[in-house]
Amino acid sequence: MDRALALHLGVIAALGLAYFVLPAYHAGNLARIMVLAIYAMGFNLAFGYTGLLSLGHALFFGAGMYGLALSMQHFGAPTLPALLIALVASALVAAVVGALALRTKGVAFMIVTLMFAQAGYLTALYFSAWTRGEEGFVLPQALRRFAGFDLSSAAGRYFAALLLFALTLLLIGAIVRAPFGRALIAIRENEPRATMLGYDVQRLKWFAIIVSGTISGLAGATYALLFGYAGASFAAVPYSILPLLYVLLGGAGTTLGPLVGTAFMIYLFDLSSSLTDAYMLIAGVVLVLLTMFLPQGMLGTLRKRALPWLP
Amino acid sequence: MLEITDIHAAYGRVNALYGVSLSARAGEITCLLGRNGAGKTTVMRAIMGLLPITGGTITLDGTPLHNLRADCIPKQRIGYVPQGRRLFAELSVAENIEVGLMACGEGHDTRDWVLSLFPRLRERLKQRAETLSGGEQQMLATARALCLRPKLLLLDEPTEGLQPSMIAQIRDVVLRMRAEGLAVLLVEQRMQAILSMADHAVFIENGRTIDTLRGDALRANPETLTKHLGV
Repeated sequence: MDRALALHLGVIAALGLAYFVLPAYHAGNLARIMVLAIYAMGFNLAFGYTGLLSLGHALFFGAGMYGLALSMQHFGAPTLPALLIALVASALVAAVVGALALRTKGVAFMIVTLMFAQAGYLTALYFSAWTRGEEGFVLPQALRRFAGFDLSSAAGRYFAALLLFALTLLLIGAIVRAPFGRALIAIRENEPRATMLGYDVQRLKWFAIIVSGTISGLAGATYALLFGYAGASFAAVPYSILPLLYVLLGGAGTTLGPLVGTAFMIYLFDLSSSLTDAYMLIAGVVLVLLTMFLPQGMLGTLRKRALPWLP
Repeated sequence: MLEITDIHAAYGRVNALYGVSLSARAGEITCLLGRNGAGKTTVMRAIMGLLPITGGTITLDGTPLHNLRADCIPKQRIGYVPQGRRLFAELSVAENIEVGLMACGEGHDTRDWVLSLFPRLRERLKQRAETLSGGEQQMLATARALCLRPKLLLLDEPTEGLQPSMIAQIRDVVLRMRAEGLAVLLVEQRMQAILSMADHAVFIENGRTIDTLRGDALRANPETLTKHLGV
């Protein structure tokens, strides 16, 4: 077994053990961190590995969230079919958005994806008879079950989040080591050069957006399923910015950076808000310092300075 | 092999090529020569489809290249080593080679062949490309182009800024490629390299072909180089 896979399995095992060691509050936090880390991992595939800075990933997160929550709430779909609907919905949305947005590059790509996300957010508000707009709706506890397990309980929520996090981490680890992933990194590093070698860059970037969007949709669906809530605020602009922060802090283009960045951000807000009402100021200063001194993120810097094998 | 006939090209509204014609044949090294700004790199980019031509034709073994998308041109077995190397800096040596192999579906045999040409790279497979010396980076850029198993190799100033020992190694590989039957189109500034390697020399000035000479004629009258290149 190579070091990268061993590290991934070790992290998954440590997260499994953490549930039995940590106080209930932190275990609950960790479940949320793992779900949002799935979202950040999806974003990382587009941004960290392919170099596509999207500001519209909340649309994919929202597509997955509403795909699952609406099909369960309004059509009584069981958990697994609802999850599949969520994945298909987010993949389709990503395919359409990708096909259109990838006609642009750089800042224009950022703006176009941002506008798509905003359109998705407004759509969720427009159909408030179904989505209940900003207020959102709660998924009944009775619906949030899978194979006899209660996914609304602390243990059910934690281990379902861990299972999906582990599958996503192993999938991302496999993708970035596969020819497809290497080609994405080549595009990020030098797009004209990748073209000169014979890669169909546009098609590869489109596939990257679809996979990235589907993983983000999985995170949205998982959030709705485990935390029992779906609302339009999750499709709004701040939810497109959050995964960017998670990935930048943890390390873009590293498999575990999204987890580290998500955990850091959530605990930074959590701890600073327990100290003062001006917690955003503290968080802001810390983020500025980190960006100045660790411009490649925590794991990106660690990989550059000490552990070049870090995946 | 490669036939370029009276091509014209422009960067936006600025004309860059006004009529370049040249041939590159299998088993021969054709040197593309001219002063700075003459249009040598532009010709290379036009061959690779990175700059659309507005007139003329580019064919490889009779197949028109100028109608193809840029990503389809390397699949015609054309390897391009651009000026400045343009490696995938964060990937290792092995990964850079792997990316080259995957592009045209080449496998272990090609990998072994390429590494046999550049034993130095075999010693540095796990090293990141950005940490290699200039000469090693040039070797890697050339190796990656050879991963396509090209029948035409385009080299844009491959020895620029390298120390003599590295220049000799690159030169040996270019000569070996010629011996293996590849057509080589070489942009080069060093007189010594031109005189020792060229089977044909094509001079361009201000985006036009102004002279074509056989290598032996060039060696018999090396002052031609001085006249055209101003060196």
